[in-house]
Amino acid sequence: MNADIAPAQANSLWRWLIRIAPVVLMAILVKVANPLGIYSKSDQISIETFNILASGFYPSSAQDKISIVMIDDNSLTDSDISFPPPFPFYARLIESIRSFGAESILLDLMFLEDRGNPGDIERLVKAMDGFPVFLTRAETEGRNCDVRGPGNLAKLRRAAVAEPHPLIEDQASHIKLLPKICDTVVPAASLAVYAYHCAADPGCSKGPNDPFVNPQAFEDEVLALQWGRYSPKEALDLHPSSGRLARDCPQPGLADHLTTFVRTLLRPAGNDDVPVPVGCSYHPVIRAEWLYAPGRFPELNVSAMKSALAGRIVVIGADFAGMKDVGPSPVFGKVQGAWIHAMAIDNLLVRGADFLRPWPEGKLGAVGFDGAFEMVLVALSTLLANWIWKRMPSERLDTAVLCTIGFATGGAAIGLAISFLLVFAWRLEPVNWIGIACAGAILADPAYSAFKKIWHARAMASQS
Amino acid sequence: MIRLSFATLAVIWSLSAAATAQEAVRVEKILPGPGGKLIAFNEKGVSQGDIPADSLPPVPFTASAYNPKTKFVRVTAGGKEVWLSPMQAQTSVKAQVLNPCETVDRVKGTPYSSRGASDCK
Repeated sequence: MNADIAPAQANSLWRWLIRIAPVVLMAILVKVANPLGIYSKSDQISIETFNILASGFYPSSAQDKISIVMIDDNSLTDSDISFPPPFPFYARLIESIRSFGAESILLDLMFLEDRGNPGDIERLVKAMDGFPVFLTRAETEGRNCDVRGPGNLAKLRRAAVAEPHPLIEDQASHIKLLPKICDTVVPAASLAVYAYHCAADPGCSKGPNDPFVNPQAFEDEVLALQWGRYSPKEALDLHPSSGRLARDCPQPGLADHLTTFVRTLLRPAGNDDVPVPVGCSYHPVIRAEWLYAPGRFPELNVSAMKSALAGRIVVIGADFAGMKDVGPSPVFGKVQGAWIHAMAIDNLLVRGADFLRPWPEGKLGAVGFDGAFEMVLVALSTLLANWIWKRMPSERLDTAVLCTIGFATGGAAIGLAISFLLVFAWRLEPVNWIGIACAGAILADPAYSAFKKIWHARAMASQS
Repeated sequence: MIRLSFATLAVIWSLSAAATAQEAVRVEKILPGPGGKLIAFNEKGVSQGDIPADSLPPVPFTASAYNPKTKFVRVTAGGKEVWLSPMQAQTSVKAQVLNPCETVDRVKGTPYSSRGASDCK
């Protein structure tokens, strides 16, 4: 009896494999050949849409540990100084931030040439002295490493506690945490600042999340940025101008989740509106002129500014008309580089060594682990859609088209749920859930089989 | 002939020694934690506890060994040899630095960086 069942099971498995083979081949073709950019585009939209939806669920536990100080052309105008800002300008900013009791400062700036009066640089060196100031280094990878250029000024290099790298890759979405740059291992700006913070925190120091003690957890790793959406409460109080902007920013709650869900999924093609109004930010943004010339701003709330700086990591960034320092973000649109570094530090403070990572690459040839996982999902969604379609009472064309739309929508919902599971349970980037759903719905072929039937019926009718 | 061979060998040896000397890894910067503490490791990368940062020679100094696999460097701290991780010891073999115009390219390329210079032609 068992001998009869075994060949029957093998036969059934063989038929199933033959049936699934075209689906897998098609999925490989779409993934590798990327015709008309279908795969990469749907991949990009999948991750972007996921990031917007997930930003409402991002933990806020580190939001009150980071602040941003922004310098721009208005800062120079309001401070009566011209471009480029002289060293005493930066010195006064650092002195002011120190006086408010900040924990550390990340200077997301490059000082490549001396400027101002002789001795100005000494003022800045003195302001940095004895305080953890991190200065992003003027270096990059992928170039002729034998060539030496000007670099950060030697006096400032010595005064800075460390010179981490400022590189943010893939449309400002990924950061190599401890890469080898020209035979030198250089920590990312976010990692260096986080490591210093962790070493001072008894709950983090000497544990697996401490990069000083456990550097292996961060070596050759890439952090995939996650964004939060809700503005900090300090933004309302700092200054009437920031308060006006902050009042229009989204507030946590079910209503905001629903609004964002509808707006994100139903945005028409070409509509690049970001889900939050201009002026919102995840960390408090303090304008440099408020610190440099506070007397000129009588409406400034000094106690709110103190609470936005005391005990915090402060990221100082600049964005001038001739020297743009901006990158895309899924939630706030185009943002300054300092915001992106601040968000990366936040990710590390919230997750420690358990930060969000991209899928491992290259282990399965050109496809990779994420591609293999997506193919399995395509195959499963195709089989499920095909199974449902076979049990439909009618195979009319309108039913078939409705079914295809239904399968794509249902598949996308399942793919989105799987992406949330991947991110929150395994800290892996979302999969291409839109591509999976569409491929599954099309390959399940209700529309094709309905067309085939209609043509067959017409052919029979014309013959008779 | 024998003398010439020895002389040639000596030149090759001295050149290779010079090349080796150039490859010695220098520690250019130390990143201590709060309180000026560093984490010391053994050769297997296992943490051995804290050491004060001022027990090291002033930077830059030459490391006594470098592990290219783990990227740890061996240094002498207070008369004792310890290993430091790349998180706390910044080494430089071939540092490459950009000028302001080169930084403009970084905005265009795959690595996003954020800076530009308006006067670059």
